[in-house]
Amino acid sequence: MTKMTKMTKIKVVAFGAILAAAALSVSLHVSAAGDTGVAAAAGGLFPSGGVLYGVNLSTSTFGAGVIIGTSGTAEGSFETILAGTTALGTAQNITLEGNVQSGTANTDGSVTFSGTSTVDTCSCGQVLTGVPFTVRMTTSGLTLVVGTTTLPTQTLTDGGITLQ
Amino acid sequence: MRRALVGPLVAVFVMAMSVGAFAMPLASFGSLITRCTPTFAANGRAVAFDPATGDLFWTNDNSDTNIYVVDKNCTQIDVLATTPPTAVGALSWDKNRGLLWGGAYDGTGRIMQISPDFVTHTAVIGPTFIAAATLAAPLCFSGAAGFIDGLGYDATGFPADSLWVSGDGAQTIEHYSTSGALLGPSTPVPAGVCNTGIAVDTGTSLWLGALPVGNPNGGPFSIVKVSKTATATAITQFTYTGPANGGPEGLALDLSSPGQCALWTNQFNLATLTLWDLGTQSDSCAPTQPPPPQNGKATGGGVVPAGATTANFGFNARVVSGVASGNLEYNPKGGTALHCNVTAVTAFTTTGSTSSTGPQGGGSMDFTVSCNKNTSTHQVHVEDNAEPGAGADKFTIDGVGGKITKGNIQIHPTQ
Repeated sequence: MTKMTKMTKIKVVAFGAILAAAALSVSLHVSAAGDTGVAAAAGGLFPSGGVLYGVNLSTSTFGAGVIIGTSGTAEGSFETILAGTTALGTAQNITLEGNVQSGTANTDGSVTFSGTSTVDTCSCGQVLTGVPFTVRMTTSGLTLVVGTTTLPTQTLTDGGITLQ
Repeated sequence: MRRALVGPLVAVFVMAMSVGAFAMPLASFGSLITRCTPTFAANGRAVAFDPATGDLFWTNDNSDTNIYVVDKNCTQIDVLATTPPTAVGALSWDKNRGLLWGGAYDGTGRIMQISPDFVTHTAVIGPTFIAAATLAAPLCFSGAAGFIDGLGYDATGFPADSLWVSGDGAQTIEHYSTSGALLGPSTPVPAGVCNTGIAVDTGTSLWLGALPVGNPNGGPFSIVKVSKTATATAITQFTYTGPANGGPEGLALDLSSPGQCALWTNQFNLATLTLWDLGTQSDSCAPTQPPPPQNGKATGGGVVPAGATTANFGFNARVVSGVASGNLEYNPKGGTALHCNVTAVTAFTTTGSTSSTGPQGGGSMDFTVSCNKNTSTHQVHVEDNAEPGAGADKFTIDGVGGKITKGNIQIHPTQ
């Protein structure tokens, strides 16, 4: 191992400072870019095992428009129709309409947003209000939590999700 | 002496102002401003207007090869003999070249440059091309192929310096370059009418002289506004009535009076020059659009009717200091999904405010999106009318959609 000369040390320090400044600049730039937008209109497919309010879920359609701020705030809407069958084999839909109140842009490129929703559990008049929900969304699918029930991750079958 | 004149002068001034006020034209679409029948009037065809001089150039049918020049009161200015003698069925003034474009009314389908010469009293036929597509186009009059009857010079359209052409009682319009290159396929005129004249407006519109299919000589007649890009759809129209049961032939735009957009017509049966008020329907007199919004924000997601089916939609659209951003996803059942970027926010209204319980929404936004890797552009309109939004909020894309059936749209109050 050779010792660095004084000049070399100065060069290294200067180079490091430049890198740090550049990194800070990038960080500031990202920070200044601010909000993250979510736009989704798509169909989803459940793996087996997803059950909500006694309905074995198979597919879904959903639409979402959300703006996530940098401080954990978010605003927008999330709507989904979850399709499946009851234990008796009858087709049944569950509709969730949510008002988004908080959210985060995650470091892995996904987003998470939450709020309260109105859930029509059977299109039969059983409507629940004030139901908390959380969505973790990537460009290829989403994971939905309704109340305390975490549903299996759905994969996209059609449509699209844009996180930007 | 001077003092004695003041009273009468004031009275005259007040009377003049009063007459002036009554004489001011009222902008009423389709109303007749002035009409006159010129000397030599026979079975009329073309009319063109030179805004620099206020001269009107007009013609009769193929029984007469002269081009007549009159002022707006039909006072004779000159009679120009076409050289070589040529019957002219359509005329349009080219302000860039300072000459007329003419359509031969003799079965040849010729489009000609015509230079008026007031010294020799001639109208000299210059460079010519054959409007071949017009020769082959369907007409309401049998045996009239190649009789050019509609011609409008387009100084500012896309492309600029081009010509809109049609035959006698035509059911299509053709678009040519001034060198005679056909710029696209023939496009139909509105269903149920035949076209006898073309005037090019300053924006995206054409004005057509319309005769009814099945009774082209009997009426009822009309003047129809269409878009250059959708000539089959009438945007608006007004009824044409003229002396001797004549119907419209040549058309020429007249913007020479400040604040007035008007259209000259000539007519068949008895050549008659009529000036019609286009009101705010002319591109040049259309109401000024408000400036685009500087700040605004909207989000939404849900289900909306999409023709015979439904579509999921989700969007976020923002404009900050006039710069638009955001995305739209639109997924019609059984159709092609759209993945779009917001490129412009063209209108934004908010009825919302910030109250003690937080932001209160309400309002609307119009925005433009570019979709599927810039292969298509669409206009989106959203309305936030209630919370929750199903059955009240609206989402349309290119006019398709309406009240959403599930989900919600939110217009966010700007800070």
